[in-house]
Amino acid sequence: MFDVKVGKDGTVQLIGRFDAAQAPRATDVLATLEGECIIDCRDLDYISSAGIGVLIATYTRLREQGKNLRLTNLNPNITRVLHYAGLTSIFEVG
Amino acid sequence: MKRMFPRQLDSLDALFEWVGEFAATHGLDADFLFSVNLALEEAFVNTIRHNDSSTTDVEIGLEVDGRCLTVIVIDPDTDPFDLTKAGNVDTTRPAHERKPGGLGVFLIKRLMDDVTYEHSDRVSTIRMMKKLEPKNV
Repeated sequence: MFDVKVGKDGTVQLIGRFDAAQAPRATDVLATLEGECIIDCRDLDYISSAGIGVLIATYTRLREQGKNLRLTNLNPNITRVLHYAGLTSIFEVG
Repeated sequence: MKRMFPRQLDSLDALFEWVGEFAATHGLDADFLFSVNLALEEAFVNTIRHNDSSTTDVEIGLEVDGRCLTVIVIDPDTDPFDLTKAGNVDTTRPAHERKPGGLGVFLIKRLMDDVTYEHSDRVSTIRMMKKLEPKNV
């Protein structure tokens, strides 16, 4: 199960398992984001390189607009994978 | 234990469920399972993307011997593609300067203790071994 929700206030939530099968849908939703972006990952259980690739593409697009992408409330396993990938400081993980 | 999975991304749900049942049977904890699921997804997706003209199912095997878990991914009809020789990702580069691809194989090597590749008679076999931690033995 995977879901990505964008609230009326612009808050974004990733939920469940963000694997390669879910990357196209997440890409479509995250492509609509503008401005400073915080993604709440408290209910995100899992992410693979496909999901990380979607986040990198979103980060790169926002960066070109002078904006930031920040991930919050990551579980320890996802934090570990982002650390291995050298991305914790890029996503301002907190 | 082994099982055939259709060569499509939609197989991931069934794949994760099957591995989860195996992990529960063998008392593997959630952190260990996370690493195994990630390595298996990356190897499975790599297998189907590098042989996207094939329609044959992909065989997945799981073996535990008391000291380690081995995950086996077999493509029964493919040209060789040795993912163990794939280039590493420069994780020190800024994200926006990175080229797409390669992160999945990098994570497999980082999360598993040993990865081997064989190709013979058009059959490719990826074996990924992870040592069982004391809490999983």
